[in-house]
Amino acid sequence: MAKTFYSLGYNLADQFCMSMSILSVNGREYPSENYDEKVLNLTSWWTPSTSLDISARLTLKRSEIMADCSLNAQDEIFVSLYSYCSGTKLQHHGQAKLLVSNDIELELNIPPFELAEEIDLYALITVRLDPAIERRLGAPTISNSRLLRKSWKIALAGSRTQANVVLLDFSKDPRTSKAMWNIKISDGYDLDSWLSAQHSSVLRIEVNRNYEDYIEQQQFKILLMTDIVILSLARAIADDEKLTYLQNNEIAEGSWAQFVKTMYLSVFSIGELGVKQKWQDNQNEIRARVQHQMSENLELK
Amino acid sequence: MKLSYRYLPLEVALSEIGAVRAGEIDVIANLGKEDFHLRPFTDQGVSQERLIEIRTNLFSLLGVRTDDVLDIPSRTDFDSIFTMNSQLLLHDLNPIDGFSKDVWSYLTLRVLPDFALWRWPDNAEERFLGGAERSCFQRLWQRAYILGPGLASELQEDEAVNIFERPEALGGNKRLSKIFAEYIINNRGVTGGKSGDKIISTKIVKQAAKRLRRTMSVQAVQTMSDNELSAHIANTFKDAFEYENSK
Repeated sequence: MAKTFYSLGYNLADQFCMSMSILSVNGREYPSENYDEKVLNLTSWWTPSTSLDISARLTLKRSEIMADCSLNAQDEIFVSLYSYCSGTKLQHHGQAKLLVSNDIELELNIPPFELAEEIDLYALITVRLDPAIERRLGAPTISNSRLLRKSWKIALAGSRTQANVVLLDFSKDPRTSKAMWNIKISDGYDLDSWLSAQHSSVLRIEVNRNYEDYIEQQQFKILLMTDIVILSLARAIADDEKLTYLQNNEIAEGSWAQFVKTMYLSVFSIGELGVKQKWQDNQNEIRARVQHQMSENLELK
Repeated sequence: MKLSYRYLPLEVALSEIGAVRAGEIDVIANLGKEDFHLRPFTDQGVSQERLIEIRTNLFSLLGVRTDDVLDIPSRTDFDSIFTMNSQLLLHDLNPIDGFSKDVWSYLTLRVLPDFALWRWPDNAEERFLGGAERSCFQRLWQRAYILGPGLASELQEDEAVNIFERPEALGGNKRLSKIFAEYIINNRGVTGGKSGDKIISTKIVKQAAKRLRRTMSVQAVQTMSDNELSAHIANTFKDAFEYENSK
Protein backbone atom coordinates (compact mmCIF):
# COMPACT_ATOMS: atom_id res chain seq x y z
CA MET A 1 0.00 0.00 0.00
CA ALA A 2 1.32 3.44 -0.87
CA LYS A 3 2.21 5.50 2.17
CA THR A 4 2.01 9.18 2.82
CA PHE A 5 5.06 10.71 4.44
CA TYR A 6 4.88 14.01 6.26
CA SER A 7 8.31 15.47 5.99
CA LEU A 8 10.27 17.39 8.59
CA GLY A 9 13.33 16.96 6.42
CA TYR A 10 13.20 13.24 7.05
CA ASN A 11 10.61 10.51 6.81
CA LEU A 12 8.17 10.02 9.65
CA ALA A 13 6.71 6.63 10.47
CA ASP A 14 3.19 5.81 9.42
CA GLN A 15 0.41 6.35 12.00
CA PHE A 16 -0.57 2.69 11.70
CA CYS A 17 2.84 1.61 12.94
CA MET A 18 1.74 2.19 16.53
CA SER A 19 -1.47 1.24 18.30
CA MET A 20 -2.59 0.98 21.88
CA SER A 21 -3.47 -2.59 22.81
CA ILE A 22 -4.03 -2.38 26.58
CA LEU A 23 -4.53 0.66 28.77
CA SER A 24 -4.99 0.53 32.50
CA VAL A 25 -5.23 3.33 35.04
CA ASN A 26 -4.65 2.70 38.74
CA GLY A 27 -5.03 -1.03 38.17
CA ARG A 28 -8.34 -0.75 36.29
CA GLU A 29 -8.18 -2.01 32.76
CA TYR A 30 -10.06 -0.08 30.09
CA PRO A 31 -10.47 -2.51 27.18
CA SER A 32 -11.23 -1.14 23.74
CA GLU A 33 -11.30 -2.44 20.20
CA ASN A 34 -9.94 0.87 18.99
CA TYR A 35 -8.44 3.27 21.49
CA ASP A 36 -7.92 5.88 18.76
CA GLU A 37 -11.66 6.48 18.56
CA LYS A 38 -12.39 6.50 22.26
CA VAL A 39 -12.16 9.11 25.01
CA LEU A 40 -11.24 7.30 28.17
CA ASN A 41 -13.58 8.48 30.90
CA LEU A 42 -12.43 8.45 34.51
CA THR A 43 -15.04 10.89 35.78
CA SER A 44 -16.83 8.29 37.92
CA TRP A 45 -13.91 7.81 40.29
CA TRP A 46 -11.17 10.36 39.64
CA THR A 47 -10.71 13.24 42.05
CA PRO A 48 -7.89 15.81 42.15
CA SER A 49 -6.29 14.06 45.16
CA THR A 50 -5.87 10.87 43.13
CA SER A 51 -2.39 9.94 42.00
CA LEU A 52 -2.59 8.40 38.50
CA ASP A 53 -0.59 5.31 37.53
CA ILE A 54 -1.06 4.78 33.82
CA SER A 55 0.14 1.56 32.20
CA ALA A 56 -0.03 1.08 28.47
CA ARG A 57 0.91 -1.76 26.19
CA LEU A 58 1.66 -0.56 22.69
CA THR A 59 1.92 -2.67 19.59
CA LEU A 60 4.42 -1.39 17.06
CA LYS A 61 5.58 -2.43 13.64
CA ARG A 62 9.26 -2.16 14.32
CA SER A 63 10.55 -3.31 10.93
CA GLU A 64 8.19 -0.93 9.12
CA ILE A 65 9.32 2.00 11.28
CA MET A 66 12.94 1.12 10.48
CA ALA A 67 12.14 0.98 6.77
CA ASP A 68 9.86 4.04 6.68
CA CYS A 69 12.44 6.22 8.40
CA SER A 70 15.44 4.79 6.52
CA LEU A 71 17.13 3.76 9.77
CA ASN A 72 20.20 1.57 10.00
CA ALA A 73 20.12 -1.66 11.96
CA GLN A 74 22.39 -0.13 14.62
CA ASP A 75 20.04 2.81 15.30
CA GLU A 76 17.98 2.47 18.47
CA ILE A 77 14.27 3.20 18.69
CA PHE A 78 12.86 4.47 21.97
CA VAL A 79 9.24 4.76 23.02
CA SER A 80 7.89 6.85 25.88
CA LEU A 81 4.68 8.14 27.40
CA TYR A 82 4.02 11.67 28.49
CA SER A 83 0.95 13.71 29.27
CA TYR A 84 -0.19 17.32 28.96
CA CYS A 85 -3.00 18.67 31.08
CA SER A 86 -4.76 21.70 29.64
CA GLY A 87 -6.33 22.43 33.05
CA THR A 88 -3.06 22.94 34.91
CA LYS A 89 -0.83 23.30 31.83
CA LEU A 90 1.61 20.75 33.24
CA GLN A 91 3.46 17.99 31.44
CA HIS A 92 4.39 14.68 33.07
CA HIS A 93 6.95 12.35 31.56
CA GLY A 94 7.47 8.62 31.74
CA GLN A 95 10.75 6.79 31.21
CA ALA A 96 11.73 6.19 27.59
CA LYS A 97 12.22 2.48 26.82
CA LEU A 98 14.25 0.81 24.10
CA LEU A 99 12.06 -1.00 21.56
CA VAL A 100 13.39 -4.50 20.96
CA SER A 101 10.27 -6.31 19.73
CA ASN A 102 6.84 -5.34 18.42
CA ASP A 103 5.33 -4.87 21.89
CA ILE A 104 6.30 -2.56 24.67
CA GLU A 105 4.87 -1.79 28.09
CA LEU A 106 5.16 1.75 29.36
CA GLU A 107 4.25 3.49 32.57
CA LEU A 108 3.52 7.03 33.61
CA ASN A 109 2.92 8.30 37.11
CA ILE A 110 1.21 11.62 37.76
CA PRO A 111 1.21 12.99 41.32
CA PRO A 112 -1.99 14.20 43.01
CA PHE A 113 -3.34 17.74 42.67
CA GLU A 114 -1.51 18.40 39.38
CA LEU A 115 -4.37 17.58 37.02
CA ALA A 116 -7.72 19.14 36.20
CA GLU A 117 -10.45 18.52 33.66
CA GLU A 118 -8.70 16.30 31.12
CA ILE A 119 -5.33 15.13 29.90
CA ASP A 120 -3.84 14.25 26.56
CA LEU A 121 -1.78 11.09 26.82
CA TYR A 122 1.00 10.95 24.23
CA ALA A 123 3.11 8.02 23.05
CA LEU A 124 6.26 9.12 21.34
CA ILE A 125 8.72 7.19 19.19
CA THR A 126 12.19 8.67 18.94
CA VAL A 127 15.52 7.47 17.61
CA ARG A 128 19.05 7.40 18.96
CA LEU A 129 21.44 7.40 16.06
CA ASP A 130 24.82 5.76 15.81
CA PRO A 131 27.04 8.75 14.92
CA ALA A 132 29.61 6.55 13.23
CA ILE A 133 27.26 5.51 10.45
CA GLU A 134 26.45 7.63 7.44
CA ARG A 135 22.78 8.58 7.19
CA ARG A 136 20.67 7.26 4.35
CA LEU A 137 18.39 9.45 2.25
CA GLY A 138 15.20 10.24 4.20
CA ALA A 139 16.68 9.33 7.55
CA PRO A 140 16.67 11.71 10.52
CA THR A 141 20.04 13.28 11.20
CA ILE A 142 19.79 14.15 14.89
CA SER A 143 19.28 11.88 17.87
CA ASN A 144 15.94 12.27 19.69
CA SER A 145 14.25 13.07 16.40
CA ARG A 146 10.56 12.36 16.64
CA LEU A 147 9.50 9.51 14.35
CA LEU A 148 5.87 9.25 15.39
CA ARG A 149 3.57 10.68 18.02
CA LYS A 150 0.03 9.64 18.83
CA SER A 151 -2.31 10.90 21.49
CA TRP A 152 -5.42 9.78 23.35
CA LYS A 153 -7.73 11.92 25.43
CA ILE A 154 -8.57 11.04 29.01
CA ALA A 155 -11.52 12.85 30.59
CA LEU A 156 -11.14 13.57 34.28
CA ALA A 157 -13.45 15.98 36.04
CA GLY A 158 -13.24 19.70 36.46
CA SER A 159 -14.98 22.92 35.69
CA ARG A 160 -16.25 21.53 32.42
CA THR A 161 -17.95 18.59 34.04
CA GLN A 162 -18.60 19.71 37.60
CA ALA A 163 -20.82 22.08 39.43
CA ASN A 164 -19.81 24.88 41.70
CA VAL A 165 -20.05 23.51 45.22
CA VAL A 166 -20.23 25.75 48.22
CA LEU A 167 -20.75 25.06 51.93
CA LEU A 168 -23.17 27.51 53.53
CA ASP A 169 -24.78 28.23 56.86
CA PHE A 170 -28.45 27.27 56.35
CA SER A 171 -29.53 28.18 59.89
CA LYS A 172 -30.40 31.78 58.99
CA ASP A 173 -33.50 30.71 57.06
CA PRO A 174 -35.91 28.55 59.10
CA ARG A 175 -37.50 27.21 55.90
CA THR A 176 -34.26 25.59 54.79
CA SER A 177 -32.35 25.13 58.04
CA LYS A 178 -32.84 21.34 58.02
CA ALA A 179 -32.20 20.88 54.30
CA MET A 180 -29.03 19.02 53.34
CA TRP A 181 -28.49 20.85 50.07
CA ASN A 182 -29.97 23.34 47.70
CA ILE A 183 -29.48 22.72 44.00
CA LYS A 184 -29.56 25.76 41.76
CA ILE A 185 -29.79 25.37 37.99
CA SER A 186 -29.45 28.54 35.93
CA ASP A 187 -32.01 28.43 33.18
CA GLY A 188 -31.55 31.99 32.03
CA TYR A 189 -30.15 30.83 28.74
CA ASP A 190 -31.49 30.88 25.24
CA LEU A 191 -31.23 27.52 23.52
CA ASP A 192 -27.91 28.24 21.78
CA SER A 193 -26.24 29.28 25.04
CA TRP A 194 -27.75 26.30 26.84
CA LEU A 195 -26.38 23.91 24.21
CA SER A 196 -22.85 25.23 24.68
CA ALA A 197 -22.88 25.81 28.46
CA GLN A 198 -20.51 23.95 30.78
CA HIS A 199 -21.56 22.51 34.12
CA SER A 200 -19.82 25.21 36.11
CA SER A 201 -21.90 27.98 34.57
CA VAL A 202 -25.24 26.19 35.05
CA LEU A 203 -25.12 24.21 38.25
CA ARG A 204 -24.47 25.46 41.76
CA ILE A 205 -24.82 23.14 44.76
CA GLU A 206 -25.16 24.76 48.14
CA VAL A 207 -24.50 22.31 50.94
CA ASN A 208 -25.68 22.85 54.50
CA ARG A 209 -22.52 23.24 56.57
CA ASN A 210 -24.10 21.12 59.33
CA TYR A 211 -24.09 18.15 56.96
CA GLU A 212 -20.60 18.70 55.58
CA ASP A 213 -19.45 15.27 56.78
CA TYR A 214 -22.44 13.43 55.33
CA ILE A 215 -21.92 14.77 51.85
CA GLU A 216 -18.65 12.86 51.52
CA GLN A 217 -20.45 9.54 52.06
CA GLN A 218 -21.37 7.59 48.96
CA GLN A 219 -25.02 6.98 49.89
CA PHE A 220 -25.62 10.72 50.23
CA LYS A 221 -23.76 11.46 47.01
CA ILE A 222 -26.16 9.09 45.24
CA LEU A 223 -29.15 10.98 46.59
CA LEU A 224 -27.58 14.30 45.65
CA MET A 225 -26.81 13.11 42.12
CA THR A 226 -30.34 11.74 41.79
CA ASP A 227 -31.79 15.10 42.81
CA ILE A 228 -29.58 16.86 40.27
CA VAL A 229 -30.66 14.52 37.46
CA ILE A 230 -34.37 14.72 38.29
CA LEU A 231 -34.26 18.51 38.55
CA SER A 232 -32.27 18.96 35.35
CA LEU A 233 -34.58 16.62 33.42
CA ALA A 234 -37.68 18.32 34.77
CA ARG A 235 -36.42 21.71 33.58
CA ALA A 236 -35.40 20.46 30.16
CA ILE A 237 -38.54 18.41 29.51
CA ALA A 238 -40.73 21.37 30.43
CA ASP A 239 -39.04 23.48 27.75
CA ASP A 240 -40.20 22.57 24.24
CA GLU A 241 -36.98 23.62 22.50
CA LYS A 242 -34.80 21.67 24.91
CA LEU A 243 -37.09 18.66 24.68
CA THR A 244 -36.72 18.74 20.89
CA TYR A 245 -32.94 18.60 21.34
CA LEU A 246 -33.28 15.67 23.76
CA GLN A 247 -35.44 13.80 21.29
CA ASN A 248 -33.15 14.00 18.30
CA ASN A 249 -29.75 12.56 17.48
CA GLU A 250 -27.79 15.80 17.64
CA ILE A 251 -24.91 16.19 20.07
CA ALA A 252 -24.44 19.47 21.90
CA GLU A 253 -21.09 21.15 22.41
CA GLY A 254 -21.58 21.99 26.09
CA SER A 255 -21.03 19.50 28.89
CA TRP A 256 -24.31 20.41 30.61
CA ALA A 257 -26.57 19.66 27.62
CA GLN A 258 -24.57 16.48 26.98
CA PHE A 259 -25.12 15.42 30.59
CA VAL A 260 -28.86 16.13 30.43
CA LYS A 261 -29.17 14.18 27.19
CA THR A 262 -27.27 11.19 28.59
CA MET A 263 -29.59 11.15 31.57
CA TYR A 264 -32.64 11.60 29.34
CA LEU A 265 -31.61 8.59 27.27
CA SER A 266 -31.35 6.48 30.40
CA VAL A 267 -35.05 7.11 30.97
CA PHE A 268 -36.55 7.69 27.51
CA SER A 269 -35.54 6.84 23.98
CA ILE A 270 -34.99 9.01 20.91
CA GLY A 271 -38.29 9.96 19.28
CA GLU A 272 -40.41 8.54 22.10
CA LEU A 273 -43.93 10.00 22.13
CA GLY A 274 -45.81 11.37 25.11
CA VAL A 275 -42.69 12.17 27.12
CA LYS A 276 -44.22 15.06 29.07
CA GLN A 277 -47.16 12.93 30.19
CA LYS A 278 -44.98 9.93 31.07
CA TRP A 279 -42.69 12.22 33.06
CA GLN A 280 -45.67 13.40 35.10
CA ASP A 281 -47.25 9.98 35.57
CA ASN A 282 -44.17 7.90 36.38
CA GLN A 283 -42.16 10.11 38.71
CA ASN A 284 -41.56 7.41 41.34
CA GLU A 285 -40.40 4.79 38.85
CA ILE A 286 -38.17 7.28 37.03
CA ARG A 287 -36.60 8.43 40.27
CA ALA A 288 -35.95 4.84 41.33
CA ARG A 289 -34.32 4.10 37.97
CA VAL A 290 -32.11 7.19 38.12
CA GLN A 291 -31.10 6.41 41.71
CA HIS A 292 -30.15 2.88 40.71
CA GLN A 293 -28.07 4.25 37.86
CA MET A 294 -26.34 6.76 40.10
CA SER A 295 -25.38 3.99 42.52
CA GLU A 296 -23.88 2.10 39.58
CA ASN A 297 -21.99 5.20 38.43
CA LEU A 298 -20.56 5.66 41.89
CA GLU A 299 -19.84 1.94 42.04
CA LEU A 300 -21.84 1.33 45.18
CA LYS A 301 -23.83 -1.80 44.59
CA MET B 1 -5.90 17.02 53.67
CA LYS B 2 -8.21 17.89 50.78
CA LEU B 3 -8.45 21.59 51.55
CA SER B 4 -9.90 23.93 48.94
CA TYR B 5 -9.14 27.59 48.56
CA ARG B 6 -11.99 29.88 47.57
CA TYR B 7 -12.91 30.25 43.90
CA LEU B 8 -14.26 33.60 42.72
CA PRO B 9 -16.04 33.26 39.35
CA LEU B 10 -14.92 35.69 36.67
CA GLU B 11 -18.25 37.50 36.47
CA VAL B 12 -18.17 38.23 40.22
CA ALA B 13 -14.55 39.31 40.03
CA LEU B 14 -15.29 41.65 37.15
CA SER B 15 -18.24 43.16 38.99
CA GLU B 16 -16.12 44.30 41.92
CA ILE B 17 -12.79 45.01 40.26
CA GLY B 18 -13.72 48.65 39.70
CA ALA B 19 -14.29 49.30 43.39
CA VAL B 20 -10.97 47.73 44.35
CA ARG B 21 -9.11 49.67 41.69
CA ALA B 22 -10.71 52.83 43.04
CA GLY B 23 -9.33 51.99 46.46
CA GLU B 24 -12.61 50.92 48.09
CA ILE B 25 -11.23 48.09 50.20
CA ASP B 26 -12.80 46.39 53.21
CA VAL B 27 -11.05 43.05 53.60
CA ILE B 28 -12.98 41.76 56.62
CA ALA B 29 -16.37 42.54 55.08
CA ASN B 30 -15.36 40.99 51.77
CA LEU B 31 -14.10 37.80 53.43
CA GLY B 32 -17.56 37.38 54.95
CA LYS B 33 -19.27 37.24 51.55
CA GLU B 34 -20.44 33.78 50.55
CA ASP B 35 -20.55 34.14 46.78
CA PHE B 36 -17.39 32.10 46.23
CA HIS B 37 -17.36 28.34 45.69
CA LEU B 38 -15.02 25.52 46.59
CA ARG B 39 -13.35 22.89 44.47
CA PRO B 40 -15.48 19.73 44.38
CA PHE B 41 -14.31 16.68 46.36
CA THR B 42 -12.79 18.65 49.19
CA ASP B 43 -12.85 17.95 52.90
CA GLN B 44 -13.05 21.59 53.87
CA GLY B 45 -12.63 25.13 52.65
CA VAL B 46 -9.88 27.48 53.71
CA SER B 47 -11.00 29.44 56.76
CA GLN B 48 -11.34 33.19 57.09
CA GLU B 49 -8.77 33.09 59.92
CA ARG B 50 -6.25 31.39 57.66
CA LEU B 51 -6.79 33.99 54.93
CA ILE B 52 -6.20 36.78 57.42
CA GLU B 53 -3.07 34.96 58.55
CA ILE B 54 -1.79 35.05 54.97
CA ARG B 55 -2.19 38.85 54.99
CA THR B 56 -0.47 39.18 58.34
CA ASN B 57 2.39 36.92 57.28
CA LEU B 58 2.89 38.88 54.07
CA PHE B 59 3.16 42.13 56.04
CA SER B 60 5.71 40.49 58.35
CA LEU B 61 7.64 39.17 55.39
CA LEU B 62 7.93 42.70 54.04
CA GLY B 63 9.10 43.99 57.41
CA VAL B 64 5.97 46.00 58.17
CA ARG B 65 4.42 45.92 61.64
CA THR B 66 1.23 47.77 60.71
CA ASP B 67 -1.42 46.61 58.27
CA ASP B 68 -0.89 49.49 55.90
CA VAL B 69 0.79 48.78 52.60
CA LEU B 70 1.98 52.38 52.45
CA ASP B 71 4.43 51.49 55.21
CA ILE B 72 6.19 48.97 52.98
CA PRO B 73 9.55 50.59 52.27
CA SER B 74 9.86 49.79 48.56
CA ARG B 75 8.04 47.96 45.82
CA THR B 76 11.24 47.26 43.91
CA ASP B 77 11.91 43.86 45.48
CA PHE B 78 8.31 42.84 46.10
CA ASP B 79 8.06 40.35 43.21
CA SER B 80 11.30 38.67 44.16
CA ILE B 81 10.34 38.44 47.86
CA PHE B 82 6.88 37.08 47.08
CA THR B 83 8.26 34.54 44.60
CA MET B 84 10.90 33.39 47.08
CA ASN B 85 8.33 32.92 49.86
CA SER B 86 5.08 32.12 48.05
CA GLN B 87 5.26 28.34 48.61
CA LEU B 88 5.81 28.87 52.33
CA LEU B 89 3.25 31.65 52.62
CA LEU B 90 0.62 29.50 50.88
CA HIS B 91 1.85 26.14 52.15
CA ASP B 92 -1.66 24.66 52.21
CA LEU B 93 -2.53 25.71 48.65
CA ASN B 94 -2.80 22.60 46.47
CA PRO B 95 -1.33 22.97 42.98
CA ILE B 96 -4.74 22.39 41.37
CA ASP B 97 -6.01 25.47 43.25
CA GLY B 98 -2.79 27.32 42.54
CA PHE B 99 -3.29 26.85 38.80
CA SER B 100 -6.85 28.18 38.94
CA LYS B 101 -7.48 31.76 37.88
CA ASP B 102 -10.60 31.92 40.09
CA VAL B 103 -8.57 31.18 43.22
CA TRP B 104 -6.14 33.99 42.46
CA SER B 105 -8.96 36.38 41.63
CA TYR B 106 -10.28 35.68 45.13
CA LEU B 107 -6.88 36.07 46.79
CA THR B 108 -6.17 39.28 44.91
CA LEU B 109 -9.55 40.99 45.21
CA ARG B 110 -10.67 39.72 48.61
CA VAL B 111 -7.54 38.88 50.63
CA LEU B 112 -4.69 41.03 49.30
CA PRO B 113 -6.36 43.84 47.31
CA ASP B 114 -4.34 46.62 48.95
CA PHE B 115 -1.09 44.85 48.04
CA ALA B 116 -2.15 44.54 44.41
CA LEU B 117 -3.21 48.18 44.27
CA TRP B 118 0.08 49.29 45.84
CA ARG B 119 2.21 47.01 43.65
CA TRP B 120 0.52 48.06 40.41
CA PRO B 121 -0.32 51.74 40.69
CA ASP B 122 -0.83 51.83 36.93
CA ASN B 123 -4.02 49.95 37.85
CA ALA B 124 -4.31 47.55 34.89
CA GLU B 125 -7.35 45.30 35.27
CA GLU B 126 -5.59 42.00 34.59
CA ARG B 127 -3.29 42.56 37.60
CA PHE B 128 -6.31 42.01 39.86
CA LEU B 129 -7.52 38.80 38.21
CA GLY B 130 -5.98 35.35 38.16
CA GLY B 131 -3.73 34.51 35.22
CA ALA B 132 -0.34 32.99 34.50
CA GLU B 133 1.14 36.00 32.70
CA ARG B 134 -0.15 39.32 34.10
CA SER B 135 -1.72 38.51 37.46
CA CYS B 136 -0.17 40.33 40.43
CA PHE B 137 0.38 37.12 42.41
CA GLN B 138 -0.46 34.00 40.39
CA ARG B 139 2.36 34.41 37.91
CA LEU B 140 4.88 34.61 40.76
CA TRP B 141 3.44 31.58 42.62
CA GLN B 142 3.41 29.52 39.41
CA ARG B 143 7.03 30.33 38.59
CA ALA B 144 8.07 29.31 42.11
CA TYR B 145 6.07 26.09 41.87
CA ILE B 146 7.56 25.06 38.51
CA LEU B 147 11.13 26.27 38.90
CA GLY B 148 11.53 26.28 42.65
CA PRO B 149 11.55 29.52 44.66
CA GLY B 150 15.31 30.18 44.44
CA LEU B 151 15.58 29.86 40.70
CA ALA B 152 12.28 31.64 40.02
CA SER B 153 13.12 34.63 42.18
CA GLU B 154 16.37 35.22 40.30
CA LEU B 155 14.71 35.52 36.90
CA GLN B 156 13.88 38.94 35.54
CA GLU B 157 10.29 39.57 34.54
CA ASP B 158 10.77 39.43 30.76
CA GLU B 159 12.91 36.29 31.08
CA ALA B 160 10.19 34.54 33.07
CA VAL B 161 7.52 35.71 30.64
CA ASN B 162 9.42 34.08 27.77
CA ILE B 163 9.22 30.75 29.59
CA PHE B 164 5.67 30.90 30.88
CA GLU B 165 3.94 32.41 27.87
CA ARG B 166 4.69 29.08 26.15
CA PRO B 167 3.07 26.70 28.66
CA GLU B 168 2.61 23.66 26.43
CA ALA B 169 6.12 23.73 25.02
CA LEU B 170 8.20 25.20 27.81
CA GLY B 171 6.49 26.53 30.95
CA GLY B 172 4.56 23.32 31.69
CA ASN B 173 7.64 21.14 31.34
CA LYS B 174 9.35 21.40 34.73
CA ARG B 175 12.63 19.73 33.74
CA LEU B 176 13.05 21.75 30.55
CA SER B 177 12.06 25.10 32.04
CA LYS B 178 14.41 24.59 35.00
CA ILE B 179 17.38 23.87 32.75
CA PHE B 180 16.44 26.85 30.56
CA ALA B 181 16.22 29.15 33.60
CA GLU B 182 19.47 27.79 35.08
CA TYR B 183 21.27 28.55 31.84
CA ILE B 184 20.07 32.16 31.99
CA ILE B 185 21.10 32.65 35.59
CA ASN B 186 24.44 30.83 35.32
CA ASN B 187 25.45 32.85 32.27
CA ARG B 188 24.28 36.30 33.22
CA GLY B 189 27.27 38.58 32.82
CA VAL B 190 29.21 36.14 30.65
CA THR B 191 30.43 37.69 27.40
CA GLY B 192 31.11 36.02 24.09
CA GLY B 193 31.86 36.39 20.41
CA LYS B 194 34.07 38.95 18.76
CA SER B 195 31.89 41.77 20.00
CA GLY B 196 32.35 40.82 23.66
CA ASP B 197 28.63 41.34 24.24
CA LYS B 198 26.81 39.60 27.05
CA ILE B 199 25.46 36.21 25.99
CA ILE B 200 22.26 36.73 27.99
CA SER B 201 19.93 39.62 27.21
CA THR B 202 16.19 40.10 26.83
CA LYS B 203 16.45 39.74 23.05
CA ILE B 204 18.61 36.63 23.25
CA VAL B 205 16.33 34.91 25.78
CA LYS B 206 13.34 35.63 23.57
CA GLN B 207 15.17 34.42 20.49
CA ALA B 208 16.30 31.25 22.32
CA ALA B 209 12.76 30.47 23.52
CA LYS B 210 11.45 30.83 19.96
CA ARG B 211 14.24 28.67 18.55
CA LEU B 212 13.73 26.02 21.21
CA ARG B 213 10.04 25.90 20.35
CA ARG B 214 10.86 25.45 16.67
CA THR B 215 13.33 22.61 17.25
CA MET B 216 10.63 20.72 19.13
CA SER B 217 8.82 19.95 15.90
CA VAL B 218 11.77 17.68 15.13
CA GLN B 219 13.45 16.80 18.41
CA ALA B 220 11.54 15.39 21.38
CA VAL B 221 12.78 17.08 24.55
CA GLN B 222 10.61 14.73 26.62
CA THR B 223 12.94 11.80 25.98
CA MET B 224 16.25 13.62 26.40
CA SER B 225 18.41 12.93 29.43
CA ASP B 226 19.37 15.88 31.66
CA ASN B 227 22.80 16.05 29.99
CA GLU B 228 21.28 16.01 26.52
CA LEU B 229 18.79 18.70 27.52
CA SER B 230 21.54 20.91 28.95
CA ALA B 231 23.57 20.56 25.74
CA HIS B 232 20.47 21.25 23.64
CA ILE B 233 19.67 24.41 25.60
CA ALA B 234 23.29 25.61 25.44
CA ASN B 235 23.35 25.11 21.66
CA THR B 236 20.05 26.95 21.28
CA PHE B 237 21.35 29.94 23.26
CA LYS B 238 24.59 29.89 21.27
CA ASP B 239 22.65 30.03 17.99
CA ALA B 240 20.39 32.77 19.36
CA PHE B 241 23.43 34.84 20.43
CA GLU B 242 25.10 34.46 17.03
CA TYR B 243 21.88 35.37 15.25
CA GLU B 244 21.28 38.50 17.32
CA ASN B 245 24.95 39.51 16.95
CA SER B 246 24.88 39.10 13.20
CA LYS B 247 22.05 41.63 12.76
